[in-house]
Amino acid sequence: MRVKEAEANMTTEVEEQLGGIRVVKAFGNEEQASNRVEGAVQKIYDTSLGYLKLRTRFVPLFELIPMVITLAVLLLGGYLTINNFLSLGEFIAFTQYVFLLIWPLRITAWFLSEIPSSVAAGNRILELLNETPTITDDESPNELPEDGDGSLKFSKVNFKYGNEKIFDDLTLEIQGKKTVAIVGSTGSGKSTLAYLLPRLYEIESGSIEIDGVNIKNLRLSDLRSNVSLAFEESFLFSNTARENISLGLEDASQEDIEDAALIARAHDFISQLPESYETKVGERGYGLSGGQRQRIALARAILRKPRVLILDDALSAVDASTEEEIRNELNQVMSNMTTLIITNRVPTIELCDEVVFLENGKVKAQGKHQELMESVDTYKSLFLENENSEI
Amino acid sequence: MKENTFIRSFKLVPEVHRPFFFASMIAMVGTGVRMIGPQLISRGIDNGVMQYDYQYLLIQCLFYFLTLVVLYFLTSKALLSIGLVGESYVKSIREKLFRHMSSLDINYFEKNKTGVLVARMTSDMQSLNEFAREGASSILTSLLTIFGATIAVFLVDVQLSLLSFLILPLLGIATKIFRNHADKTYWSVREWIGQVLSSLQEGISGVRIIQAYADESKQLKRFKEVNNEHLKANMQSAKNIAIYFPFLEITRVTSIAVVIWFAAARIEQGTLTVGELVALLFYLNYFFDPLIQLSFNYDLLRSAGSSMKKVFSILDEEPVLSKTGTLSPEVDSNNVIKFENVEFSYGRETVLHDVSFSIDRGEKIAIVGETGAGKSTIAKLILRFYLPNKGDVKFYGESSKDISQKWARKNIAYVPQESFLFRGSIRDNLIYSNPEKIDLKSELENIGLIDWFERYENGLEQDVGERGANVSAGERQFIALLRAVLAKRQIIVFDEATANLDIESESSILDATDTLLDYQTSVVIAHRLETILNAEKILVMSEGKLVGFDNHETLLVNNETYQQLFSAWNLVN
Repeated sequence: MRVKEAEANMTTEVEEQLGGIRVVKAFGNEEQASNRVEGAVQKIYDTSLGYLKLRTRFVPLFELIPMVITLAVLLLGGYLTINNFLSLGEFIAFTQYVFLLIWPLRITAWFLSEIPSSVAAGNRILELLNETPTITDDESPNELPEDGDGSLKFSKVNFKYGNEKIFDDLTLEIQGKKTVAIVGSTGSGKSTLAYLLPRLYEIESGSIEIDGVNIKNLRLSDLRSNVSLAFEESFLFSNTARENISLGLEDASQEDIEDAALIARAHDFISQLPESYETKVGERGYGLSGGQRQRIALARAILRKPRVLILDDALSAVDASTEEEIRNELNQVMSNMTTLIITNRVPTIELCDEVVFLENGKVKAQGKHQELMESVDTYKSLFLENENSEI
Repeated sequence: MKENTFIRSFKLVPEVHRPFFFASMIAMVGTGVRMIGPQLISRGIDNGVMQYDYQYLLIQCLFYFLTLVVLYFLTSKALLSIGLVGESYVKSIREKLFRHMSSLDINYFEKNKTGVLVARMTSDMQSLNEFAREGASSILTSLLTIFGATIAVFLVDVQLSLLSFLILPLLGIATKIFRNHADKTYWSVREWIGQVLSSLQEGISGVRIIQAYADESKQLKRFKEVNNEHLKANMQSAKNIAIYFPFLEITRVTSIAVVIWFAAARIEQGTLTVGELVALLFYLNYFFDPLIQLSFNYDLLRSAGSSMKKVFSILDEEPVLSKTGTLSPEVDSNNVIKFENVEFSYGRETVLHDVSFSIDRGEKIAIVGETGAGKSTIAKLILRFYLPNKGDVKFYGESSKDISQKWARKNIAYVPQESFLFRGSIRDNLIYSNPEKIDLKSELENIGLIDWFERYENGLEQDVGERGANVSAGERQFIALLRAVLAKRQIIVFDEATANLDIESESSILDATDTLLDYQTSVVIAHRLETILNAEKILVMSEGKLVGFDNHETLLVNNETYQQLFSAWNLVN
């Protein structure tokens, strides 16, 4: 077990030194990096020796067992044969039977030595299988009203991450088809708000309603196909660009996909990829820039024409002029759905119908950007310093 | 393939040659002792049992027992020394590999993902490790036993040995066929386990997206498909063994049957004793038994071999930059950096076209431009992470082709966009460039930043966590920049973070950052307006061309690209 620990330590060390290789090289500190890794490698060597010594003491014993049996056969069988209790043929047969034992014994020894680690592995698997998802479908789920426009209502929502209280009796109403900026300092729970709507996390108490229906009473698949998220960290699967955009919607037509890509300003660069929409992207696929990845993720969010669209700093890696183009395009799309934009960028905020300002786990203020700038001091101070330094 | 992987692997670590030879010698002596046993049994039967002399049999048994005791110690010693050789081998390979990796050009690390390189040192090494720990000794003893048993049978009786080995060519052919199949299945098992792992990895790291888009069933279907292929490949591997083993068994039994058949006649004639027959049977079993062992270890050998191939693929990479250039220019001239008609491409398309500019000592330069304009390429050329394809980059009047890598590293500091901190305290990170020499306290006092660290509970001793996770993004970048400043290089290249810093809490960092940049000749890839306004001169890049190099006011009047960029930033106002 200590060997495993030493190996894990070395992995951490190697990950760190290679992850920071640019820094290592920029400071010409390759020697120091190598020394640290070598220290970790030496530890593996040292711990392995103990294990090796133990093993080499026991393994030869198993090989000796059949030989010891042979010895016994010789002693006893010889005695019996000499005294005519056993024929010579039977005696010789006995000496050969011992050989049939060698292989099973060795295999048994090997299996026995594997048992502890197999049991440990099995226990870990069982532990995992015993976990049950806590967020599940309601037994008699409700339907979203056909004509709903995506209005949102948070009533007295409480939520904790571990021990850290994020929302404290948060109450908030957002009218359907509005575009709302969610603003707040780091740690104010802006992103958490985005995760609560599609029930990626369960609230502790209170309720969240979409078009008057509590999200707890909705089928998860219904809820999630009506709430689309795009994160700052856009995750692409090792699949074609088309499949990445149509995630969760297998029957999306090429036309719809291209429309979504056009709005997200992703169509142009996708068309230029070697196999256009069929090009593999993602970890092992065609290398895309951060901005391009975000645009694909955005197309993915738009494609399903959700009632509620949530953009969590989803355009942070897109350059300024493209972002403006996307914003203009989005304007048309956003008029058909409720859009929450999590951002602290003023130009983006100004595009929104209203602003929800989060502070200390509550909605501190809700209204037009200009109004809040005039009436809420903490809101204003967020941007006063921002103004000079924001891109 | 230039050379057989096996031979090359052996040559790679000369320090294990001697211990390996020593270990083999012990194993060989052990094999010799093992071969004595059947002889003693044979004598015990012929002169003891057959002659009704129990006394004699007892003496032979005593001898046999003694060989067993000796055998235990020899085997144990042999296993230990081979194990030691294996461990030192793996250790040495890891050290060599990392040393070599860290000497490679930055270019290599941009082409290869860190995760893959880490795997080369860890999980890919696993099979080599397994081989060193268990496989090597097992294969060595098996081979020696086969060898020893062959000699022993011939010593007992040449005619019968020849007869019993008549079936061997058939076994040889079967083994060859088995190996071919085993090779094929081996690769498909590897391929599919790779797919299973990456499918798992993707499913887990992308779980939020998968859940948010209710794509669970499709993901599960994809996983089941690859998992099923993996199962099929494994079953094929089991099938190979299931066909080969019975065949091995048949050969063994046939060869023993042949011996007994002919031995009966020979005993009748009186040219063979019963004891000799028993000894022959023992030796034949010693011959066939290790074959099973070997076929079990075949896959292990195979994967150790492919681990080594991966090791070699890295060792065969040659660092280019550290081998070119030997000059260490004096740093007294005023012209620090000069680009002369520089053209550059990473391979496919040209990303810099005919770029010329020069930077004087102490100047603060900002580089601006849209994504893909060539900003970071310029930074990388200044860092001498690359050499230009055409034209020249000069440091203090000397071409970057001629100056030594070491000089570049000791005179140019770099702060990457994603600030990387090492585990340990803030202090450890700040003195990274020269842990013994930097008097951190007085340096910080000089810069006037000593109070800045009071924000942390433990001050400078605050632990930053893995990759600096315990401090904010802005603080990380600041510490990284300060680390570069404390290294006291002539030139600082600073790639400013684009991430949306939470300005309210980070403004003090930004102020301190501006202070720091005054200390050296600095080139900043700028993303914040404030940084740009603070720069003395601004390099404006557009589509790989230099379209302007002047101060803010002048550029604002006469540079169209800059005007556009500026109005985009300035949407705020």
